[in-house]
Amino acid sequence: MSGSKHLLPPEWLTRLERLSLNTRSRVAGTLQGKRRSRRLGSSLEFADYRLYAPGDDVRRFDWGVYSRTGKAFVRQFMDEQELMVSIYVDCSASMAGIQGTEAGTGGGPSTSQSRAAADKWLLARQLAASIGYLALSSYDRLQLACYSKSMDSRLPVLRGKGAAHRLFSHLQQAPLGGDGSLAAALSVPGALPRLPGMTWIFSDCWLEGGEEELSRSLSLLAGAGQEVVLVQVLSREELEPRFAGDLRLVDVETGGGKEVAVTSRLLEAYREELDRYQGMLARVCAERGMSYVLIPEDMPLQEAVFGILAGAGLVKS
Amino acid sequence: MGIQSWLSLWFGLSLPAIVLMYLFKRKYIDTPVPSHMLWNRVLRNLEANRPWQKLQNRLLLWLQLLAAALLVFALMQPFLQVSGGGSQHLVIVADTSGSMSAEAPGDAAKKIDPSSGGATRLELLKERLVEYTGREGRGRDISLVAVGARPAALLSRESSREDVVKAIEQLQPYYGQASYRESLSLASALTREDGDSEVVIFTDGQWKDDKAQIAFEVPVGIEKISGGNPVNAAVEQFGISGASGPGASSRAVAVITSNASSPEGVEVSLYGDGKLLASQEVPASEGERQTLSFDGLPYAEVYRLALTGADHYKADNEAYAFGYDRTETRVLLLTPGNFFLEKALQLGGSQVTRVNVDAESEGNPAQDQASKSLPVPEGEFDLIVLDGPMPETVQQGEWEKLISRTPLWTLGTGAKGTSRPQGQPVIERHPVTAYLSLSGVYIGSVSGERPSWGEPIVKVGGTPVIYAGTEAGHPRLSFDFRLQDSDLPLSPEFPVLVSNVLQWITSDNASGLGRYIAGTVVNIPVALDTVNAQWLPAEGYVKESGYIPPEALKSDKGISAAQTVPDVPGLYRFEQVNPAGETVSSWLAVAPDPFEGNLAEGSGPAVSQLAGSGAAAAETGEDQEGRRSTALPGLSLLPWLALLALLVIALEWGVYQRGRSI
Repeated sequence: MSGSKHLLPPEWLTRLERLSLNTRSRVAGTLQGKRRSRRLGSSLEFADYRLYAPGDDVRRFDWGVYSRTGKAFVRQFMDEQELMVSIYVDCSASMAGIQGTEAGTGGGPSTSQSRAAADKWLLARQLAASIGYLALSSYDRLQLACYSKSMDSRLPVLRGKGAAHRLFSHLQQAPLGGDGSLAAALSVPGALPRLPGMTWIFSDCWLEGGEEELSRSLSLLAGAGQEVVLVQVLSREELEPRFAGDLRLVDVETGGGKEVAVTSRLLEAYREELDRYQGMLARVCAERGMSYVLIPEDMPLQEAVFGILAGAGLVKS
Repeated sequence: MGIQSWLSLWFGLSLPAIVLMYLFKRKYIDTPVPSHMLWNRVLRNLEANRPWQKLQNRLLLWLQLLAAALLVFALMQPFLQVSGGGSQHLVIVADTSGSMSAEAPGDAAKKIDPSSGGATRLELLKERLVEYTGREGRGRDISLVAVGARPAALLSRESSREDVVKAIEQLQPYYGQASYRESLSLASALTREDGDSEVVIFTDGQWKDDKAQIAFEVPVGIEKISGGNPVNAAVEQFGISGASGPGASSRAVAVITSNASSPEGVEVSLYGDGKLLASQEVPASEGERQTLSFDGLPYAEVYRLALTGADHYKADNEAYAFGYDRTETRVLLLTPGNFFLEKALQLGGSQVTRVNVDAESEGNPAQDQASKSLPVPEGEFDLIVLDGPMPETVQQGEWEKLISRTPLWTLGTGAKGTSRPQGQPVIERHPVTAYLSLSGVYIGSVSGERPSWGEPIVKVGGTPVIYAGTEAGHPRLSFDFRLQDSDLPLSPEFPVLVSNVLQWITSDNASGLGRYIAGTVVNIPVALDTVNAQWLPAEGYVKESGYIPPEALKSDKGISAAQTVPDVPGLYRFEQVNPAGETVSSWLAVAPDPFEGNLAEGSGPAVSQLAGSGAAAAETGEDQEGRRSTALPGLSLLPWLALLALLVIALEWGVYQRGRSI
């Protein structure tokens, strides 16, 4: 059973605790988190002194300075606030990889799929779990949803490392299947995060509507004040298909087929099309000040997090 | 590189068939792809599912097409032309016919010394042959067959270069009827049991068409001696008519032809015994026959007609005719009395000397004495007519000598026969039977004796009744029935018949023996006492060429009456010497084969090569055209193609086992 196996190796968690999410946007929250706010506030971190003015909190009055100099000063502390982190994991059938048709139609957990199938889905969930754990350990508010055509399963808002277990088990048991449509899922009422914050989308981005659909979804998120990170997880077969012969290419989600005689020219054309698509995605994201990263499925988790995510400045130690 | 069977190209239709089968093959393997959306875009851009798209990357298809193409190519029986491709025995057929003596105008002749009046085709051929044998014949046995009266194998499996060159240098043109077919047949026979040989034919392309082709089992090549475009004017006919004695005038008629493309003046000169009698300028152009006549010619023994002008083939520029030296035919008639015959002979313009023979003397010994006294008349006769059974004496002594040197006509001299021929007369073509039908003529009895010297020219109901032929060069005519037993003398055709006989008998009566095509065998009246005879070139082309005629043929009885005319055209004297040292000579004109004078560019011999060793290839008309040029030494590619096709099929099997496509 998938539950017996940890989604993330235990030693990985301790390394994750040293990291934190790097966000450019202002952090706002109602509860005090570990994230340093730009405002001065009520954390333990000392910031500055200033002259006392009537009405100031007397708890911050520095009696020591007053006794030595006779001047009334108040200590100012940095305000620490929490970050709203939303994670959307694509659990449509296409995430299962090539052999995922049965899982897609059956809707069962697919972790026991063949390696090629499991890797893409597994890596997406591992990345989601890592980012989620990172957020939890920073005392940020975390909300997680698996979406296909709509929000399939969502977790209530989690806080604190204690909730990590719930996060992991939820990801581990997330069902796989159905058509993937980010725009449709986000247009469900209540799907968008209520508070401004950071949104991570883990998907292969195989959207029927292509970059237009993605652009619409990102606009929705931007409207909700989200700083979006789009992580595209692709399998090796999707990056460099090694087909040959007469094939009927069947869409794992819609079941629609297309007959094709695969030639090297065709494969070349596919690669060009893929490059163009990735460029489009990157452009759509860049236009909105959002981040886009591509992570191939065969990349080790450590390299993905420390190499790509940290390299893109999304995660900092 | 050549193809033997273009017809097999039809098998090439199997190639599109294979492609079609691949096109119609509908077997797709379902492959789920997550990135279907991307594929959709790619396919939309590329239109990758066009029908021929799926033919692109199919190793199996290409291999199958390759194998099929190789098989089709093999069916077309290709071969490589190899020069001197290893065959050990080289048979060269050299065309030495009369046309080869034509001068080659244009560039071809420039190589040879111009002072010699231009190179003949034969000289070019020799040059080419020496070069060819030096190049291709190294280390090979060479047989050389020359086209002459009979094919002559000048060399047989000769490997010595010196001997080969010597034999080539000795080639001479032959002006008679060349043995084209026989030479090819000889070459074919020389190579029949010898697969490791090769035949090369050197010719100017002027080769007599042959209905039944000679098939060769070995490769045959044709090397053409380019003859350029020679101009030739020829004397086609020349004759003297209006025979009259010395002092009277006669008339000459000549027909001149030319192949010159533009009308060109040809000067025609007529000589009588070496003296110029008349000269005329005639415009001659292609395909036109110019008939010339010269009237009022004085008597001459030999008339010579010569053409001068631009001409590349000199052999047929002369013709000879012989004047008649007697006006009346002298006939010696031995008869018991036949008024009809005598009158008919006189009517035919002959001077009849009648000798009465007693018809009852036959088989009566008591009368022998009287018969012996039959005197031999004085003088020479043009014809002796023996009418009815003859006494013994006529076949002996002086009579026999006289008869042997004079044309003879016998009528019913044989035993009295009993068979009575009935039916329609069948008449062969012969000067004697001209204008005759002999219908309704009754013949009482024939003796049934068949003379050794002649052929029947008239048969009645299958029974020969009239024989004609020559004996010792003299004409002989025999009626196998007595005129008394037939109503032939009453027939209105009888005088015609007698006139025909007289004309035929005296047709040779000119001062010469006649005009013959070079190399033919003619019957020459040879005197019984002749001990030696020889041909002497007298005038014309033969004098120019310095040809030495062969010795007169001898039989076991002395000089043979059947003599072969010398090979080179011109005027000859046939000189007979008797024991007393007296010489009797007669003129004989030799003309070249008219076929050789037609110097148009020919296509050369049509040869065919048997496919393989056994099966004779049936040749169709259109096939010959293709073969003619490709019948060069060939190396069949069949085994190599078969091997290649097998390799491809093996490869195909490997591909099939491994997977579907590349």
